[in-house]
Amino acid sequence: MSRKPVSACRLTAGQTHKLARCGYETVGDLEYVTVAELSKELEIGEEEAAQILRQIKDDSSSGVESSTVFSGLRREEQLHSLSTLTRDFDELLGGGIEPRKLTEFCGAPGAGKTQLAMQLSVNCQLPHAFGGLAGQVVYIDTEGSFMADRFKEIAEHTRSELQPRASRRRKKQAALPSVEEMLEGVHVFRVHNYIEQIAVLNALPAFQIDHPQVKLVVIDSIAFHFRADFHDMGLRTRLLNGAAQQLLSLATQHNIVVLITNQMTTTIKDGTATLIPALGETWAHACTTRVVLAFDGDTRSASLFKSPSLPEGSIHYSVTAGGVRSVRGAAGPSSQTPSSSSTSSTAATAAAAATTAKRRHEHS
Amino acid sequence: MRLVPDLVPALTSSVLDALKRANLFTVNQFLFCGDAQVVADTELPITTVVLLREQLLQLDAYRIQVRSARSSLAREEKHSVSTGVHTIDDLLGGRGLPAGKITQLFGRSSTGKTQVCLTAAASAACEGHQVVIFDSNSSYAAERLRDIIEHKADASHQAVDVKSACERIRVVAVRDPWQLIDGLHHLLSMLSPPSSSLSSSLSSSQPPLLPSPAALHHSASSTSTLIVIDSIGNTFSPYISSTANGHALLASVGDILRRIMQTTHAACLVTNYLVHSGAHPDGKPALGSAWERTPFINIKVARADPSSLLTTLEVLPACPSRIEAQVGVGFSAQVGLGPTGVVDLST
Repeated sequence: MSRKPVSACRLTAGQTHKLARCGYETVGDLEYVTVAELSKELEIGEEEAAQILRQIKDDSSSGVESSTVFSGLRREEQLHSLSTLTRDFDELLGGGIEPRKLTEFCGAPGAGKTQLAMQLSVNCQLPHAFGGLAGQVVYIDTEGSFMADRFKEIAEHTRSELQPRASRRRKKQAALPSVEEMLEGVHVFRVHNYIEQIAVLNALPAFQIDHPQVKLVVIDSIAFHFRADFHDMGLRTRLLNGAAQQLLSLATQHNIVVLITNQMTTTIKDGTATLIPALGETWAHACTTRVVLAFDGDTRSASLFKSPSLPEGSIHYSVTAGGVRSVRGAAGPSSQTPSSSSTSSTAATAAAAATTAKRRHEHS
Repeated sequence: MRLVPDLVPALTSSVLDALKRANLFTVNQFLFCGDAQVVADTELPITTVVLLREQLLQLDAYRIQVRSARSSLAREEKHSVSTGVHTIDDLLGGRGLPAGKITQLFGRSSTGKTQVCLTAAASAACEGHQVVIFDSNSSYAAERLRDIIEHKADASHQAVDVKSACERIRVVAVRDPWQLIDGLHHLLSMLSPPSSSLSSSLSSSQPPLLPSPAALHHSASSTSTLIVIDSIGNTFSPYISSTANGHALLASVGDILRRIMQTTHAACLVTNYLVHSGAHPDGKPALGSAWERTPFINIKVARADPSSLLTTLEVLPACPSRIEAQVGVGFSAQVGLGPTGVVDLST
């Protein structure tokens, strides 16, 4: 007999109270009770009695997703990571951005968060052979920083850089989507305050069912509406951590990549100011993986700060007219080279992406 | 437990009706009332009431459990689960995570709490224990667990079958308190002796959390179960407020965990985040008073800086009045973080 207390079921306080008054303390107590009996005993309508019994049954049978490591391995083999199309970046992330997890990119304004998010929105729509997910994108824009013309520019560049490789492969599944298709494949939600932001997140599961081709959800940025003029820190923690759990459940149900950007904030410790990711300590626990983006002299750097599976590390990258690209060798003026020279490197990286994806954890 | 027909022979339908008229619905309510009170309220003969009380007290759930100190000590020693890291086992008194107790790791983000859990889970599976991980953050990649299991198997003196070790670890995705409570109740029904597994009619559609109760009971004498909850803070933080019922649900989790520990040989490892307050400038485990007395041992996990591969574990008393001689309260030790999880610094 299930000893699960009735108070741990999703019932209203009033219903729990009425059940307790009549001695129904555990789910097992209700196992053989009929609607009519319950309605009579609790002095409630049959409809409510039926609803209580249904809720308790649903609660117990909805089940929890569980898998052994053995079956998990088989599932992980079939999943594709989303490539950044930048070899160093992919290596830092163990082959790309993994689905079924929350990955957070933090950085000061101008560090490249939105550029990276837009580049990944392009990459997501590429076929698996190019490190993409062959899927569409939900882009939740809280700061108004998503620029359609910039997105188009990145899509055009990326497409033309990959075209030589694509035409060599005659297979259908390696065909690149057109720029028009890529523009069509990004569903942008512009949200103006935190209420809208929470509302969009609540609506996502339904949107996902209508648009099963969505493989990437971007929130750029999670912090914006929760920093200025937000005074109730307890409420902020509850809303944000609740949102994180909602996103995780979406990600695991549909094998989606979830990408969150976050701002940086200044903290004073021992008299010196340091930049740390915004939203505090509780939020820091919410994401599975955390990457901090920064300016480092002439180039930009990305550092893996938190990951349950990968060692911490840092790499350099650059943002060119074509989007997010590798830096050859160490930092230097060559990092700003326009797309002409990075063409070959991107194409090579795309080819490598598919193989590096399988080389996760081979760090020493 | 509710008073239902045929619970015990003395509980005939006429007796049951009389009790219900007097607002006595549960065994607890009945036992709480004195015989004289029940007779006055129900007008039942005193002999019936006394007989009913005697029979109810013979029920499994109400029989008083007596266990000698020696047998509890022996049970604890026999069923402790090693963390797979000598330094941490020593910190916990030599044998690792004590059976029947909750050990809590708390600390800032990215200090190595999950790494300790991964290592303990892999090591326990290699030693033949069953492991159930309640994962709130999608942090338990099968590939990572397999890598650590392979490493532990290589280092072990005994032959370890990696495949069956991989099958002994179950990862349960937990997104809210209700899922955690359901998962724990399901685990309890799987771990309890078969006589009480009536509940399977309600939960038969679920994938089993553990291979099968029979398999477990066969091996129950020599192995234990390790329960990992990573992290209790993430699961509950959205529900802790004056209006949400997070505190009540949290108490429910503590209750079910204690029941699991009482009925089975399980050890439990929980992670939590750290909060600062005026009274605790160095930080204390989150979730407040509804949770603070549930863990038996608190270990603070701290890391000097993100570039360091060392992390420090410090044992704190679970609460000020409860200082355990066998646990090194106030002691701390350093361990390393790496591709094979948490490692002793000497190796």
